[in-house]
Amino acid sequence: MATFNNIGDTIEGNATKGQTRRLEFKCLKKHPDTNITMRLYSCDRNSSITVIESSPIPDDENIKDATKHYHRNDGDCLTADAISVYIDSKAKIVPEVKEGVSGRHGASLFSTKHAIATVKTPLQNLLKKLGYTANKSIE
Amino acid sequence: MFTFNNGDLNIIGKHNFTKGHTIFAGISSCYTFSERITGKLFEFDKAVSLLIRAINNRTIERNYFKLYSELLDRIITEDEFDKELNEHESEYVISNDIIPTKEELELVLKLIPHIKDVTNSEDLSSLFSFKSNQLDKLLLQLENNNGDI
Repeated sequence: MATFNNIGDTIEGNATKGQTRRLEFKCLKKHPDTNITMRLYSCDRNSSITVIESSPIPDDENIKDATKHYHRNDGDCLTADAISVYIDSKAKIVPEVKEGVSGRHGASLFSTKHAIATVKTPLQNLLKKLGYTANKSIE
Repeated sequence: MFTFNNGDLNIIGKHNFTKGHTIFAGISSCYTFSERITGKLFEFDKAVSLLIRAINNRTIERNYFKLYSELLDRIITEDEFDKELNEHESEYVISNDIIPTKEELELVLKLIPHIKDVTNSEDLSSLFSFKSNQLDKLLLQLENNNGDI
Protein backbone atom coordinates (compact mmCIF):
# COMPACT_ATOMS: atom_id res chain seq x y z
CA MET A 1 0.00 0.00 0.00
CA ALA A 2 1.88 3.08 -1.24
CA THR A 3 1.34 6.42 -2.98
CA PHE A 4 3.00 7.25 -6.29
CA ASN A 5 3.16 10.58 -8.11
CA ASN A 6 5.95 10.40 -10.68
CA ILE A 7 5.23 10.62 -14.41
CA GLY A 8 4.80 7.10 -15.76
CA ASP A 9 3.79 5.56 -12.40
CA THR A 10 0.96 3.12 -13.08
CA ILE A 11 -1.55 1.18 -11.02
CA GLU A 12 -3.82 -1.61 -12.13
CA GLY A 13 -6.79 -2.98 -10.24
CA ASN A 14 -9.89 -5.11 -10.77
CA ALA A 15 -11.67 -2.32 -8.90
CA THR A 16 -10.51 1.23 -8.25
CA LYS A 17 -11.83 4.37 -6.60
CA GLY A 18 -10.87 7.87 -7.69
CA GLN A 19 -11.28 11.53 -7.00
CA THR A 20 -10.68 14.43 -9.38
CA ARG A 21 -11.81 17.97 -10.12
CA ARG A 22 -13.02 16.81 -13.51
CA LEU A 23 -13.37 13.33 -15.04
CA GLU A 24 -13.62 13.46 -18.81
CA PHE A 25 -14.26 10.66 -21.27
CA LYS A 26 -11.77 10.96 -24.14
CA CYS A 27 -11.98 8.11 -26.61
CA LEU A 28 -11.77 4.40 -27.29
CA LYS A 29 -8.07 3.54 -27.42
CA LYS A 30 -5.74 0.59 -27.34
CA HIS A 31 -3.72 0.54 -24.14
CA PRO A 32 -0.03 0.99 -25.07
CA ASP A 33 1.21 -1.87 -22.86
CA THR A 34 -1.55 -4.49 -23.10
CA ASN A 35 -2.91 -3.54 -26.57
CA ILE A 36 -6.44 -4.12 -25.26
CA THR A 37 -9.11 -1.69 -26.46
CA MET A 38 -10.36 0.24 -23.45
CA ARG A 39 -12.23 3.45 -22.71
CA LEU A 40 -9.84 6.30 -21.92
CA TYR A 41 -10.79 8.87 -19.29
CA SER A 42 -8.74 11.84 -18.16
CA CYS A 43 -8.49 13.24 -14.64
CA ASP A 44 -7.25 16.78 -14.26
CA ARG A 45 -6.04 18.77 -11.23
CA ASN A 46 -5.65 17.31 -7.75
CA SER A 47 -6.57 13.80 -8.81
CA SER A 48 -6.05 10.53 -7.06
CA ILE A 49 -6.98 6.95 -7.81
CA THR A 50 -6.60 3.93 -5.52
CA VAL A 51 -6.64 0.17 -6.05
CA ILE A 52 -9.58 -1.29 -4.11
CA GLU A 53 -9.30 -4.82 -5.44
CA SER A 54 -5.95 -6.00 -6.75
CA SER A 55 -5.61 -7.63 -10.15
CA PRO A 56 -3.48 -10.69 -10.85
CA ILE A 57 -0.25 -10.59 -12.83
CA PRO A 58 -1.07 -11.40 -16.49
CA ASP A 59 -0.34 -14.88 -17.87
CA ASP A 60 0.79 -13.66 -21.28
CA GLU A 61 4.59 -13.32 -21.12
CA ASN A 62 4.73 -10.25 -23.40
CA ILE A 63 2.09 -8.38 -21.40
CA LYS A 64 3.67 -9.54 -18.13
CA ASP A 65 6.98 -8.06 -19.25
CA ALA A 66 5.42 -4.81 -20.51
CA THR A 67 3.51 -4.32 -17.23
CA LYS A 68 6.14 -5.44 -14.73
CA HIS A 69 6.42 -1.89 -13.33
CA TYR A 70 2.69 -1.72 -12.50
CA HIS A 71 1.60 -1.41 -8.86
CA ARG A 72 -1.23 -3.84 -8.15
CA ASN A 73 -1.57 -4.06 -4.37
CA ASP A 74 -4.70 -3.06 -2.47
CA GLY A 75 -4.33 0.55 -1.39
CA ASP A 76 -1.72 1.49 -4.02
CA CYS A 77 -2.57 5.02 -5.05
CA LEU A 78 -1.64 7.60 -7.68
CA THR A 79 -1.86 11.33 -7.03
CA ALA A 80 -1.18 13.91 -9.74
CA ASP A 81 -2.51 16.81 -11.79
CA ALA A 82 -2.90 14.64 -14.89
CA ILE A 83 -3.90 11.00 -14.70
CA SER A 84 -5.11 8.89 -17.61
CA VAL A 85 -7.46 6.06 -16.69
CA TYR A 86 -8.08 3.22 -19.11
CA ILE A 87 -11.28 1.45 -18.07
CA ASP A 88 -12.53 -1.96 -19.12
CA SER A 89 -16.22 -1.17 -19.03
CA LYS A 90 -18.85 -0.53 -21.68
CA ALA A 91 -20.99 1.59 -19.39
CA LYS A 92 -20.07 5.25 -19.14
CA ILE A 93 -18.56 6.20 -15.79
CA VAL A 94 -20.78 8.80 -14.12
CA PRO A 95 -18.97 10.51 -11.25
CA GLU A 96 -20.67 11.68 -8.09
CA VAL A 97 -20.05 15.39 -7.57
CA LYS A 98 -19.39 16.29 -3.96
CA GLU A 99 -18.97 19.89 -2.84
CA GLY A 100 -16.49 21.07 -0.22
CA VAL A 101 -14.07 18.15 -0.48
CA SER A 102 -11.14 20.53 -0.17
CA GLY A 103 -11.28 23.91 1.54
CA ARG A 104 -12.33 25.67 -1.65
CA HIS A 105 -13.33 23.16 -4.27
CA GLY A 106 -15.65 20.24 -4.80
CA ALA A 107 -14.63 17.00 -6.47
CA SER A 108 -15.94 14.24 -8.69
CA LEU A 109 -15.79 10.84 -7.04
CA PHE A 110 -15.86 7.74 -9.19
CA SER A 111 -15.34 3.99 -9.04
CA THR A 112 -14.42 1.58 -11.77
CA LYS A 113 -14.10 -2.10 -12.46
CA HIS A 114 -10.86 -3.23 -14.12
CA ALA A 115 -8.75 -0.15 -14.81
CA ILE A 116 -5.19 0.90 -15.56
CA ALA A 117 -4.24 4.42 -14.47
CA THR A 118 -1.02 6.29 -15.24
CA VAL A 119 0.43 9.63 -14.18
CA LYS A 120 0.89 11.73 -17.33
CA THR A 121 2.81 14.89 -18.18
CA PRO A 122 0.73 18.06 -17.87
CA LEU A 123 1.69 20.23 -20.82
CA GLN A 124 0.85 23.79 -19.79
CA ASN A 125 3.93 24.47 -17.65
CA LEU A 126 6.24 22.37 -19.82
CA LEU A 127 5.33 24.36 -22.93
CA LYS A 128 5.87 27.66 -21.09
CA LYS A 129 9.24 26.46 -19.80
CA LEU A 130 10.37 25.42 -23.28
CA GLY A 131 9.03 28.62 -24.88
CA TYR A 132 6.22 27.12 -26.94
CA THR A 133 3.18 29.37 -26.58
CA ALA A 134 0.15 30.31 -28.65
CA ASN A 135 1.56 33.83 -28.93
CA LYS A 136 4.47 32.52 -30.96
CA SER A 137 3.75 32.02 -34.65
CA ILE A 138 4.57 28.67 -36.20
CA GLU A 139 7.94 29.05 -37.97
CA MET B 1 21.49 48.27 -55.23
CA PHE B 2 19.82 46.59 -52.27
CA THR B 3 20.87 44.63 -49.24
CA PHE B 4 18.88 42.25 -47.06
CA ASN B 5 20.25 41.20 -43.68
CA ASN B 6 18.39 39.39 -40.95
CA GLY B 7 21.10 37.27 -39.37
CA ASP B 8 20.09 34.03 -41.05
CA LEU B 9 20.05 35.42 -44.58
CA ASN B 10 22.37 38.09 -46.00
CA ILE B 11 21.99 39.21 -49.61
CA ILE B 12 23.35 42.04 -51.73
CA GLY B 13 21.91 42.67 -55.16
CA LYS B 14 21.09 45.04 -57.97
CA HIS B 15 17.91 45.49 -60.03
CA ASN B 16 18.31 46.10 -63.73
CA PHE B 17 14.94 47.43 -64.76
CA THR B 18 16.05 47.96 -68.36
CA LYS B 19 16.89 44.32 -68.83
CA GLY B 20 14.20 43.18 -66.40
CA HIS B 21 16.32 41.10 -64.08
CA THR B 22 17.94 41.18 -60.65
CA ILE B 23 21.46 39.97 -59.88
CA PHE B 24 22.22 38.97 -56.30
CA ALA B 25 24.73 37.15 -54.16
CA GLY B 26 24.68 36.21 -50.53
CA ILE B 27 25.06 33.69 -47.73
CA SER B 28 22.45 32.01 -45.53
CA SER B 29 22.12 29.22 -42.97
CA CYS B 30 21.12 25.81 -44.30
CA TYR B 31 17.54 25.57 -45.62
CA THR B 32 16.76 29.27 -44.94
CA PHE B 33 17.45 30.30 -48.54
CA SER B 34 15.31 27.57 -50.15
CA GLU B 35 12.55 28.20 -47.60
CA ARG B 36 12.52 31.90 -48.46
CA ILE B 37 12.60 31.33 -52.21
CA THR B 38 10.00 28.55 -52.35
CA GLY B 39 7.91 29.87 -49.45
CA LYS B 40 7.87 26.29 -48.22
CA LEU B 41 9.16 25.45 -44.77
CA PHE B 42 11.55 22.53 -44.54
CA GLU B 43 9.21 21.14 -41.94
CA PHE B 44 6.12 21.87 -44.05
CA ASP B 45 5.59 18.37 -45.43
CA LYS B 46 6.12 16.79 -42.02
CA ALA B 47 3.69 19.25 -40.37
CA VAL B 48 1.03 18.52 -43.00
CA SER B 49 1.42 14.77 -42.49
CA LEU B 50 1.13 15.14 -38.69
CA LEU B 51 -1.92 17.37 -38.96
CA ILE B 52 -3.65 14.96 -41.34
CA ARG B 53 -3.06 12.20 -38.79
CA ALA B 54 -4.49 14.46 -36.05
CA ILE B 55 -7.60 15.30 -38.08
CA ASN B 56 -8.21 11.62 -38.81
CA ASN B 57 -7.86 10.74 -35.13
CA ARG B 58 -10.35 13.45 -34.18
CA THR B 59 -12.72 11.94 -36.77
CA ILE B 60 -12.25 8.51 -35.19
CA GLU B 61 -13.16 10.00 -31.79
CA ARG B 62 -16.18 11.71 -33.32
CA ASN B 63 -17.29 8.45 -34.99
CA TYR B 64 -17.33 6.74 -31.62
CA PHE B 65 -19.40 9.54 -30.05
CA LYS B 66 -21.85 9.38 -32.95
CA LEU B 67 -22.22 5.62 -32.59
CA TYR B 68 -22.61 5.91 -28.80
CA SER B 69 -25.28 8.57 -29.19
CA GLU B 70 -27.15 6.26 -31.58
CA LEU B 71 -27.06 3.64 -28.82
CA LEU B 72 -28.35 6.13 -26.23
CA ASP B 73 -31.11 7.25 -28.62
CA ARG B 74 -31.99 3.57 -29.17
CA ILE B 75 -31.45 3.86 -32.90
CA ILE B 76 -29.22 0.78 -32.59
CA THR B 77 -29.20 -2.03 -30.02
CA GLU B 78 -26.31 -2.86 -27.74
CA ASP B 79 -25.54 -5.94 -29.85
CA GLU B 80 -25.44 -3.82 -33.02
CA PHE B 81 -23.19 -1.32 -31.19
CA ASP B 82 -20.74 -4.07 -30.16
CA LYS B 83 -20.84 -5.65 -33.62
CA GLU B 84 -20.05 -2.34 -35.33
CA LEU B 85 -17.10 -1.71 -32.97
CA ASN B 86 -15.69 -5.21 -33.48
CA GLU B 87 -16.08 -5.25 -37.27
CA HIS B 88 -14.81 -1.72 -37.95
CA GLU B 89 -12.32 -1.19 -35.15
CA SER B 90 -10.12 1.19 -37.15
CA GLU B 91 -13.06 3.62 -37.53
CA TYR B 92 -13.63 3.91 -33.78
CA VAL B 93 -10.43 3.04 -31.90
CA ILE B 94 -7.38 5.31 -31.61
CA SER B 95 -4.10 3.49 -32.15
CA ASN B 96 -0.92 4.56 -30.41
CA ASP B 97 1.93 2.68 -31.93
CA ILE B 98 4.13 5.42 -33.37
CA ILE B 99 7.35 6.28 -31.53
CA PRO B 100 7.99 9.99 -32.22
CA THR B 101 11.40 11.18 -33.38
CA LYS B 102 13.02 14.17 -31.75
CA GLU B 103 12.22 16.29 -34.84
CA GLU B 104 8.56 15.21 -34.84
CA LEU B 105 8.25 15.99 -31.14
CA GLU B 106 9.76 19.47 -31.56
CA LEU B 107 7.41 20.18 -34.46
CA VAL B 108 4.39 18.91 -32.54
CA LEU B 109 5.25 21.08 -29.52
CA LYS B 110 5.18 24.11 -31.84
CA LEU B 111 1.76 23.10 -33.16
CA ILE B 112 -0.13 22.17 -29.99
CA PRO B 113 -0.42 25.65 -28.40
CA HIS B 114 -2.65 26.37 -31.42
CA ILE B 115 -4.76 23.18 -31.12
CA LYS B 116 -7.71 22.89 -28.74
CA ASP B 117 -8.04 20.30 -25.96
CA VAL B 118 -4.43 19.16 -25.66
CA THR B 119 -3.64 19.52 -21.96
CA ASN B 120 -1.46 16.51 -21.14
CA SER B 121 0.76 13.95 -22.81
CA GLU B 122 -2.09 11.43 -23.20
CA ASP B 123 -4.03 14.01 -25.29
CA LEU B 124 -0.89 14.48 -27.38
CA SER B 125 -0.57 10.72 -27.79
CA SER B 126 -4.23 10.37 -28.84
CA LEU B 127 -3.97 13.21 -31.34
CA PHE B 128 -0.89 11.98 -33.17
CA SER B 129 -1.04 8.21 -32.41
CA PHE B 130 2.23 8.44 -30.46
CA LYS B 131 3.06 5.60 -28.07
CA SER B 132 2.19 7.33 -24.81
CA ASN B 133 4.81 5.80 -22.49
CA GLN B 134 7.63 6.60 -24.97
CA LEU B 135 6.26 10.12 -25.30
CA ASP B 136 6.42 10.72 -21.54
CA LYS B 137 10.08 9.62 -21.49
CA LEU B 138 10.97 12.00 -24.33
CA LEU B 139 9.10 14.91 -22.73
CA LEU B 140 10.94 14.29 -19.47
CA GLN B 141 14.28 14.33 -21.32
CA LEU B 142 13.29 17.57 -23.04
CA GLU B 143 12.34 19.17 -19.75
CA ASN B 144 15.50 18.04 -17.95
CA ASN B 145 17.79 19.10 -20.80
CA ASN B 146 15.96 22.40 -21.30
CA GLY B 147 14.65 21.71 -24.78
CA ASP B 148 17.24 19.26 -25.99
CA ILE B 149 17.05 15.49 -26.24
